[in-house]
Amino acid sequence: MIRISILILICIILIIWAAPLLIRFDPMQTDASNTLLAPSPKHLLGTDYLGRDVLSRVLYGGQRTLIITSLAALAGLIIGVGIGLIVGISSPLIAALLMGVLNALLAFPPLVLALVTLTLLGQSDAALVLAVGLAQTASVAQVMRAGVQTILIQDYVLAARAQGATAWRIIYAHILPGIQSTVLVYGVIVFGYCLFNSAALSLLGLGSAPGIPDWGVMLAEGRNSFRAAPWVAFAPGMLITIVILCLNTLVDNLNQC
Amino acid sequence: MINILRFAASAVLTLWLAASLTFVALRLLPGDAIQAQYWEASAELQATLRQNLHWDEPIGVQYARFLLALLRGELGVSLYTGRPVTEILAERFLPTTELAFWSLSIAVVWGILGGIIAAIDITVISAIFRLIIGLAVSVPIYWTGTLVIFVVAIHLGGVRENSALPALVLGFHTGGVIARSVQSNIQDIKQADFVRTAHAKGLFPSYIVVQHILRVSLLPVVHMIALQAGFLLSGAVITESLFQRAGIGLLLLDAVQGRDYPVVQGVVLMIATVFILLNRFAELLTHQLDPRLNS
Repeated sequence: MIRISILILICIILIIWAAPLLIRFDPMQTDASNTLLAPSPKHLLGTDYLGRDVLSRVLYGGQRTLIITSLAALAGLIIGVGIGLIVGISSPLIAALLMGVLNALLAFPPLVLALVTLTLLGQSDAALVLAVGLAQTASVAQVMRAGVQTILIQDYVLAARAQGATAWRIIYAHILPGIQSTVLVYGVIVFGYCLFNSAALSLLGLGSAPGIPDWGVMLAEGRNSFRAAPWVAFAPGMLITIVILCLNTLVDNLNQC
Repeated sequence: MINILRFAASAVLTLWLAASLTFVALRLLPGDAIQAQYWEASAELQATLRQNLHWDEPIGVQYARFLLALLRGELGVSLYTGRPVTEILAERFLPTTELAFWSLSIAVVWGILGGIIAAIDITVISAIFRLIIGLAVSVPIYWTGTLVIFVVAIHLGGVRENSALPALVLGFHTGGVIARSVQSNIQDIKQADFVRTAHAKGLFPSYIVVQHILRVSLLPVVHMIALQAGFLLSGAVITESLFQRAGIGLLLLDAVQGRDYPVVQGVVLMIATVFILLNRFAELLTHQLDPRLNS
């Protein structure tokens, strides 16, 4: 299962980035005489309500969706791991204070946090990345703190301390290598959440500028013409689903390893 | 009794922190609401508006005013309609509560039963349930919702108002998360020594499942269910937008798009309150149900 998931993910990424070689239509090119065409040899996935080729849009849109999701996941992981480290190594009082704030943050569902961030920052690509990423930081920090604490009570850390190792040395030589696998597994989980949330925000009309293809935006546009032309929403809908399904399979199997 | 007090204290503390976070986020960070909202208005009018909202006072005074108002249950007025936020929230509360209640009921029943069936090996049926659980966890709710609306539109001509569909869709996904946790709990406990002992004693397998395995493995699920409140509320934003139901989720979405700060603040505070209270209640309940935790 794990091999199939990785294979599917790699294929999707390759096809998306090989898009310029594979497709004949400009994803932004409208064609008023060929709107809502059913899939055919010319337009493999049909055309949308403005006559744009769905295949080229879903591939170019995939680039955008996956880049935004990756940046968001990376931002969430880096900030979350940072906070987790600080909470893990700081004095009990400061740690308790920070944990209180983290717990309060965890009381807001990630999508709601992302919505609030977008209210504050306005709508732009950078805001979208930050909103989706920041929404994950509290849970990342919580997981990392637990990881850091289990390492800190190990004898080899105590020995390093006794030898006079600095905090930076302990972080660099003991904690970071120790939480590597946790970061990796949790990174895949966070990526899945970020994909779900960034597509949801685009779908809700809070993502990119209209027109620029993106799986969430395409899903929103496709929903409007779903009865007449279900294929428009079908392509992005299925792709988001397949990617998340593969990621979840990956996580389940990584956890068992 | 001590437990109840302890959980109440921690709930109040978390609530206060959550409220403060909302205050800091919406008052201190860049993006002046008045400027964004009334950019056409003259500088004097903008100043008057700020004065009316007390936004020209020192931040400490504003914070004190905010907390006092919160204690009195006041959340300010909408920048658009001028209506009190509490009034708007009260109006939108019922549809979302209804949606959440039915979704959670469906989720609990299907989640627990589905999880049990997936975990005890009845070959084909269990495999099918494992597949359905995997789909419930992985397929984005907005895609399921879209497909359901499409199918219903073809067969019935459209989704009726007040239909059960949003609750079914939301319940299916929420239940998936519950089912997966039930399933993994049972699979873990099936390996436990006391279960092996029960088998060795020659107890009836179905008796072992009910009396030994389920009793232990369903305990953490109580907390799990309360944790789904967050999932349910995010889901409500999406479901209400898909099915155009005038609840809290749609209110939040509209307020975010219009940058109606007081409304966003009110909704977010309400969501956090519900989540924190449910969570503490579940912790309390788990402590009551599980004698091991009190020793």
